[in-house]
This record gives sequence, structure tokens and C-alpha cells, in this order.
Amino acid sequence: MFMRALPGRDARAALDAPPAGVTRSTAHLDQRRRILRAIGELVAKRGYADVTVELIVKRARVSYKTFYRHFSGKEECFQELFDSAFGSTEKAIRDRLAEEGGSWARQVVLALGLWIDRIVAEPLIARSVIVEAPTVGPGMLERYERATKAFVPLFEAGREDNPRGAQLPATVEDTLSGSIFWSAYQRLIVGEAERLPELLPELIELVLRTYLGQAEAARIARAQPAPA
Amino acid sequence: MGLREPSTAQPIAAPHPPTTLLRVAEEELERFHRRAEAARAGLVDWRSRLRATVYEFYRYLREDEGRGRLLLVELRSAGARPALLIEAEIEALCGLIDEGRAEPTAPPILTRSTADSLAAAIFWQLSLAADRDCSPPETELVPGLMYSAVLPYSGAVAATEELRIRPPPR
Repeated sequence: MFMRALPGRDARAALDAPPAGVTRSTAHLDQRRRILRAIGELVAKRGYADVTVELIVKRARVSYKTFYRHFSGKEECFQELFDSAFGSTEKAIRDRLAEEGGSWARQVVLALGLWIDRIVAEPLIARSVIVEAPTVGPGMLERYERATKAFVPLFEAGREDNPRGAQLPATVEDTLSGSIFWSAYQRLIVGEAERLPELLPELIELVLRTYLGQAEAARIARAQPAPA
Repeated sequence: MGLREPSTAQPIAAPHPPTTLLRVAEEELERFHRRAEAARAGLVDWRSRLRATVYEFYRYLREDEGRGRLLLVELRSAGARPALLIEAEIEALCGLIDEGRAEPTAPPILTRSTADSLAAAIFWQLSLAADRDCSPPETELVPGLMYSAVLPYSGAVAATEELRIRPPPR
């Protein structure tokens, strides 16, 4: 004699079933990916406070059980989104710089361009982690501060190109890295992520001016192709 | 951690209900606006006015340990209307920095976007520094921020001067 399945169990099982092409071994990763994308898109559209686990599981097409197998709650889920979004971007930039090399100035141009490209490619996720993250509360502050300083190590290397590099104030790289970060924030908050590429020459000049001087910074910035 | 009304020395406990928070924030920022205007009174040149404002903002934040946290976290997480107060403050600082484009040394390529980026970064750095348990003295922080703000408009010589200019009197 077989037990009848509890009402809804088949439906729940169907939710978590991997789609065609996704094997059992990757189903776990696929579910995690869907959950993270779901919270990112929901937070971008509704704000963090108004997003519930119920909304997340519906959008991600997973069960509550699956959600809680991955995360202890909404906040941990968002923190993972935040860490993976910035972590993957930093990795992509590092890989690109390692692959292409070039002068320090060239690396700055590449890094800023790639950072902007990723924001434009995923504006909802970008809005979620750049605009909405501070609204999560004090627990996110340390992560957020680290994110605003993501370019500091790259910019600091520019001091070697400036004969007066040692005399630059200690705050310079924090201010420049923050300026890049907050430029994206300002565009995302008004829903104009697609306009960020237009800012690239001015942002390049803002950074390079500190280390290479106005004339050289302007020359490099103006050599950039116009956005498509 | 709480905000203290100077006249009553009565702490206001955080977190605040949204309407109370909005009212408290508006009163606090109005207090800062009056102080900033007084600090700029009689100053004509752009750099002096910007310097006075940045110093005054940091002094204002450091006087009460709750102010930095209010701007960094509480207002941003309290909803759209409180968060707009921060945007308005950054916009005001942006406007002041952007006046640098009228300087004779300012390159024509500059747009308001430069001031936009710098204002938000400087606002954030000041708020963060003030929120720390041991916030750095103003002479360690503000000259460097002024360097970054002045450099695009007035060049390296003027920016470097900022590192040696004494703070405005209190």
C-alpha cells in the first residue's frame, strides 16, 4: 500500500526539478543562482524592506525548503548576492588586466570600462547592490565601504608614475574610488545606467589627472572611442 | 548611540519611527545649514567657501556620534523620503564644488558629473570617518578631501596648497 502524496508535494517537487540540460550535480548551483538573481531583481524593483522570502521563492521557482537549505534568511541571501556581484566583477577585472597588461594608465582605462560594462549589462543587480544595499542596515556597512574602495589598490599603483606621488594625500585613492562608485550610484538611482558609458572619459580623466597631470590625463581620456 | 539636542542634552534613542526620524533629520540638517552659511559668511573665493563648508560639515558630524550613523544608515534605510534628504545634501555640496568650473583654470571638458562624483564620495568619506569609534582629526582628513575637490578645477599647485592651509577658526 502506498501513501498518497500530501497535497502540493508534487507541485513543490516540480518547482525544484532541474530544467532540461541541468544535471543533478549542477541543480544545487542552479537553484542558488536563481535565488540570488531573484533577490537581486526584487530588491532593485521593490526595495529591500518590501522583499519577502515568499516573493523570492516564487520568482526563483524554488521551494521554501530549498531556499532555507541555501540561506538562513533574506539578509544572508542578500549578502551573498552582494559578495558574489562585487567578487565576480573584481575577478573579471583582474583577469582582464592580467591578460592584456599594458601601462598603468591603460589598466585604469580597462578596469573602469569593464566595471561600467558590467553595470550596464545587469542594471537591476547593479541597482540592488549599489543603491539598495545601504538600506539593509548596519550589517551591510562594512561590506559597502569595502566595495566603494574596490579601485584603491589599482589607483595607488599610479603613485609610482608621479614624481610627487609620495606627497599625495592619503585620502586620494579613497576619494577617487568613491567617486567612480558614486557616479554609478547617481545614474542607477535615476534609472539611467545606460548613460554611464558617456561618463567614462570624464571619469578616466578624473583619476589619471591626479597621477599623470592634466594634459596627459586629457589626452588619454579623449582617445577613448565614443560609446555605441 | 543617540542624537543630542544641544540645549537640553537629552539623547534621542535610535532607531526612530519614520516620521520622527524625518523630523529629527530635517532639524539636524537645518542646524548644519545655518552653521555652514555662517562659516561661509564674508568669504568670496570659491576655494575658501568650499573649504569652510567641508570643515563645518565634519565638525558638525563629529559633535554627535549619532549624526554620521544617521546619514550613513538610518536615513537610507528609512524609506524614500528620508533618503531624499541625503540626496539633497549631496546635491548642495555638488553645486558648491561645481562652481569650480567658473575658475579661470578649469578645463572646458569638465561637466557637472565631476562635481557629482566628488560630492558623493566626499560626503560618504566624511560620514564614515565621523561614524568611527575614533574619528580622525579634521586636519588629517579634510585637507586631502579638499585636494581632490580642487584638483580638477584649479590644478595641482592649488590642490597642493590645500594640504598646507590651516583650518578655519571655529
